[in-house]
Amino acid sequence: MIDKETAALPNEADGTRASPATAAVGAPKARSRRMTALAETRISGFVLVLALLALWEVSARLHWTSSTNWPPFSAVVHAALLGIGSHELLAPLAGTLARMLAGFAIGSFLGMVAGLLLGASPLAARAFNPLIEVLRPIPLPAIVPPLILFLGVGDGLKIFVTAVGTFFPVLVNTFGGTRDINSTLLQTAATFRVGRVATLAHVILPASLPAILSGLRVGLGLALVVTITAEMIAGAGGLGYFLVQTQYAMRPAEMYAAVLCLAATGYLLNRGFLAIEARLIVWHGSGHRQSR
Amino acid sequence: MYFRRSRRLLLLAAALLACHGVARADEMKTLHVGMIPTIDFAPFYAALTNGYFTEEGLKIDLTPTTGGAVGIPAVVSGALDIAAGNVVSTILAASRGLDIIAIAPASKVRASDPDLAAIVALTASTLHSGADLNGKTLAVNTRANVLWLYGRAWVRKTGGDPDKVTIKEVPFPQMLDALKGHQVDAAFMVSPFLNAALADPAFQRIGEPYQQVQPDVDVGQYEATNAFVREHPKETAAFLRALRKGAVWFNANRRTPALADIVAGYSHLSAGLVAKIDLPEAPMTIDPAQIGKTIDLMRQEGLLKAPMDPMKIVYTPATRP
Repeated sequence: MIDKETAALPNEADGTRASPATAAVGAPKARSRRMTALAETRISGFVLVLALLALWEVSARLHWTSSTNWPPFSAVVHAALLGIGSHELLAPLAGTLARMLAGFAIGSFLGMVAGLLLGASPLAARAFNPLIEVLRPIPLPAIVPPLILFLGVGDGLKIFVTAVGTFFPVLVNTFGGTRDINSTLLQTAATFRVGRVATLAHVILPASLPAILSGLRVGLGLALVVTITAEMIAGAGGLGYFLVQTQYAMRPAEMYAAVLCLAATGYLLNRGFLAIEARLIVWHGSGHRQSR
Repeated sequence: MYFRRSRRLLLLAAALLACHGVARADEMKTLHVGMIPTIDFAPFYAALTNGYFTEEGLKIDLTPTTGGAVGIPAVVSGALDIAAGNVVSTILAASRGLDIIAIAPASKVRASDPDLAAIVALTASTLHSGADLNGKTLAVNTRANVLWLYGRAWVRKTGGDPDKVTIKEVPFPQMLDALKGHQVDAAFMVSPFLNAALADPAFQRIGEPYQQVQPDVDVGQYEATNAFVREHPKETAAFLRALRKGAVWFNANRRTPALADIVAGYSHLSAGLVAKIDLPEAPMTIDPAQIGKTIDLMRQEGLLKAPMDPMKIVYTPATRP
């Protein structure tokens, strides 16, 4: 909300100075506030989603596109319900989630440990930073086929790729969090002769928690995408393989049902994570107040 | 005390190992097989469904794969013992020094058979030959692989210049949409997508590259490494016997609902659609002369720099120890 208000102010200021066309954009304050209030509620977001789904349904029913790969949304929902009822969809989803969570757990743990170590040692940070910056942008789908040589086509491959996908955002955020720590905290710890490990566990880790959590959230979103991609390339199961299989079996409704299922999963994972994050931040915040 | 405990553990481990050895003697041998769930590999699935592998003492640990790009590295690394692939992937991999051979044929396009692969264009278009495709766009599933090769060879054979044809990579499920949307002018399709296209009067078949370029070409193959067949001659022979039984059954049951059910089962296609596909006869042996022709074609189209002996990639009794 604060962001939106501050973002709106320069626009209005610009509008009065510049052309009348841009001035028209700056609506009366009351109306803009009402719009902002509407935008603040989650309902407006859902309205857009519903409108797009209605457009999907209508475009398919009225054959705006003559593609066999564009089933009406209602057919997709029907396929999704059937798939969930028959476990045809739930079993691959469970497989995907298991691989994803395994990869996410490994990648985020290692990312946090590595980030904290780099944060604790400027020498290590200088030594490893170039390597991290070189490895980080490598698109993971590109390395799946060569990885098959070393890891086969089983779960190990997918978990590894997911762990790599999670590792870097968590590492970078954790490292960033440790660097941004208020030096007073560290000096206080040093004054009280708190050991290195204890400083890491009781000062650095809690203070960089918000940064770590945002890294974990990025990592969680990536983990789902990466797991699905790996399953699509070297699949034997999971929703990624299901997507390819239904596409090649010319069953687009089932394919979109899997996409729908993935969208819902991603949404729920994110909301679940936000709920956990809110609790952790509250704890962190109260701890912070006490320390003051 | 620690020593005594560890000795007891050691004894226990030895006993367990001994039991394991006894149990293994009458256990089934497990083969890790990577299979592309398309109609080309129906004889394998027929053998699997009919229990022919079990009869040969083999347990098949099946991994579906999307093709040679996954199957070959997995076989070379030992993650899979046997994988489905095509002749061009096998030759390419072998030419790069990878230990890979074709142990059995999977599909063959005979002049007498219905061709399940064809170049399709819009009926409204005036494209009928490779010459017409000069300056146009042709879609294939994968660049520098089997359809790309035979698509180019077809353009050349029918009066066109493959270097003047833009070849685009489009996945099979999207080819019809790409044609309708005029993103490509022609598409090299295979069944069941070809059947879906030809069921629509908006599309027409303009060429059958396999039959026009190289009738009797061996396309699909079962691949393994020399190392595997050398170290596991019995399992390899048992696998090939079961596969052959599957191919015999397949050939005897090509038009039956029983086969349509098997194909629908693993490919997830609807049984009604499968029943409409005129499946060609399954081959029994690899024809090295055909592999040689494919190698020549690959050299002609620039996929292969040096000549290669077809026998290098064909599993025959001569390559057995």
